[in-house]
Amino acid sequence: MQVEVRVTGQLIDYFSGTHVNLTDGTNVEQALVTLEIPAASVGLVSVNGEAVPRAKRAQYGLVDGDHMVVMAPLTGG
Amino acid sequence: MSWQGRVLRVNLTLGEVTPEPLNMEWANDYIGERGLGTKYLWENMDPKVDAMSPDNVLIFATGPLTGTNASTSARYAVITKGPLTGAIACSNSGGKFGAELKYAGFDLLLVEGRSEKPVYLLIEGDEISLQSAEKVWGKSVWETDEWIKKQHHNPMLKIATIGVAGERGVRYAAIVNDLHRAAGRSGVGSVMGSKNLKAVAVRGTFGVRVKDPKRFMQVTNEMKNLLAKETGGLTKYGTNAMMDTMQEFGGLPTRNFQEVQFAGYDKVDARAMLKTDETGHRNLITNKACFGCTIACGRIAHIHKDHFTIQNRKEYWHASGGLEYETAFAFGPVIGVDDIDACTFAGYLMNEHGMDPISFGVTLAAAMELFEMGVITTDDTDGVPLNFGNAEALTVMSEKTGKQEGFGQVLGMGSRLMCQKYGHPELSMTVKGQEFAGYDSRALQGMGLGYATGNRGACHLKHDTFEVDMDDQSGEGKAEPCKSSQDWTAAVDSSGLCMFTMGAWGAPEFAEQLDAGCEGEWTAERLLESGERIWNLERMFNLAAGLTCADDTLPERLLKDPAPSGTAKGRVNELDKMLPEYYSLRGWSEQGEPMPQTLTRLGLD
Repeated sequence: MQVEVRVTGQLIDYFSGTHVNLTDGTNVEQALVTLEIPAASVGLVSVNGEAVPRAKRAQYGLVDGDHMVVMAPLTGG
Repeated sequence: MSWQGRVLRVNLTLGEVTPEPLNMEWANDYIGERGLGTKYLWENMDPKVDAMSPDNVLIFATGPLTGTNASTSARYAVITKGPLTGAIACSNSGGKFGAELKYAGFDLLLVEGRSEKPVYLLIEGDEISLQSAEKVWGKSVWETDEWIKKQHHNPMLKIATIGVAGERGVRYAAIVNDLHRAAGRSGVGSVMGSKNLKAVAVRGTFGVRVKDPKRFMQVTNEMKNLLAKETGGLTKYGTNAMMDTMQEFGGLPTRNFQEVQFAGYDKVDARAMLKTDETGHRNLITNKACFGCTIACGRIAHIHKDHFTIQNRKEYWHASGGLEYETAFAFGPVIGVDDIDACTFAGYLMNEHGMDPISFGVTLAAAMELFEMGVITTDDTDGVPLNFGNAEALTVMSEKTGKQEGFGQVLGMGSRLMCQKYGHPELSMTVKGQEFAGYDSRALQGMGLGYATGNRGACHLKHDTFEVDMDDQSGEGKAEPCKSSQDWTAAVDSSGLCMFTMGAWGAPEFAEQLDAGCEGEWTAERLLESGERIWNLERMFNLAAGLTCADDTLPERLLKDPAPSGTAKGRVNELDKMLPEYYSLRGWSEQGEPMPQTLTRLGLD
């Protein structure tokens, strides 16, 4: 399956594409591993505009055509 | 050790400068900088006095690690009673001035009274004097910096100065040091102007001694390595890398907080700063570090010389301080502008005239909403249409406010007074009179609690709930991280180091550096307790000044109008649920007053 991916902030250093091919049944946590983005470097993931809390990443299954946003942590500034 | 052990008391009414010993008992209880400055303020003035009266006291305070070779050791703070809020004001800056003040042999400057005529304070070697500033009264920050250096034939002077905005009472005037770093928030520059004090110019040639040089070198080197692993993104992209995160999250205040996402965000974000246009021009030139900093998050930018803002104005064709997240938010989404050169130019003007970009931008946003509602018209605004998205209105009004001309005099009042003037106080996006930073508290609930309870009014830098706010958009469980991070941030703000290290260093890492550098046994527990003491003393100042629990609130827009989009779509801020728990955790009464046992525990009774 193919998932549209957008990363924010400094996470662009990990992934600068627009889509990723994943095996069926991949969850958010596994998708981050495929993208080689360290989980600790991620502030929040949203799928189709819905927030996926850290504790639910492993349970949240992705489907073909999903739009996943991987957001960098906020730091103030 | 690490302290010079001296305070300079400056009485402007009498024209006297008097060195006195630093109160080490207070330094041990309040760490330094923000905390120590607050203690000196508390002991030297009545919190009820008018912020712009000669009875207000203005303090420049360094921390115990300011000027050492710990990373980010540039910080100093200005502490006073703020004219924007009537509450305590504490504004923190980097650059080189803070370390230079320490090298000049002073830990803290305490300024009282009012000079009959404009003066600046000169500390140069053994010479400490008040000099006439009449030739630079009415001049900009940049002109003043240059003039003082020429006057003393000393380009090594480090200068903190106000611009015309501070002289003429703009309530959010800043004190700008080293041309484009600033103690920016809460109107500390207005207080300086009310005292007829134009600038402080310092050249220091003393070193700073630390308690255990070998251990200090070892520890600070370890900490620099740790920092390097965690802060590469700040170095490369600066704080404006947060813009697209806030957009996707749905917490980017847009058009005076009517919306939480901005379609033009990608024209003013960190990636836009890095883009090269068809003419070969790129906004960002390079990054820049404050004294001793190994992060270097600062931005140096320039504007395309054909841009409408600087066409035929060669004086602005140079490079200067570039956009950071807060300036990009304040000149971009919150007023609906997506012109990066106009935003950059407005940033220049804030530095040149000495103003807080956040308060200016959010005040302009309220004026734009008033304009679009028809409450004010071009008859009020010197003929300038104040529609959201009007980049020319941004830059014209920045100059008018900086010089206090025309409608700029209204904008200089700040959002609260301006909205009251036009009969729409509900449009003021402020807490205690200070404007919000670039985070919408319907999406970031803990941020909302931190804003509401902020001792200097709405502020994003006095607590750190970002991680918990991102992971859970409800108000559940936010009171404790808000309270504990407020205490921790108060300790960090008092150390002389920058809060941008907090992602890499926790209390043990700070304590280790302090303990190696300073006298006394510094532990993580002692630092956190000191932070809580500082927070409570600030609160006591505010209560004595006349503020109450009724001031711990948010505008109705954030409490009643649901977020229209983003990951928190449909949510309002849940302050009513969070605030009672927060007071309880603090050991405060239901009226938000510290209980006697809390004061006793912290040694504040």
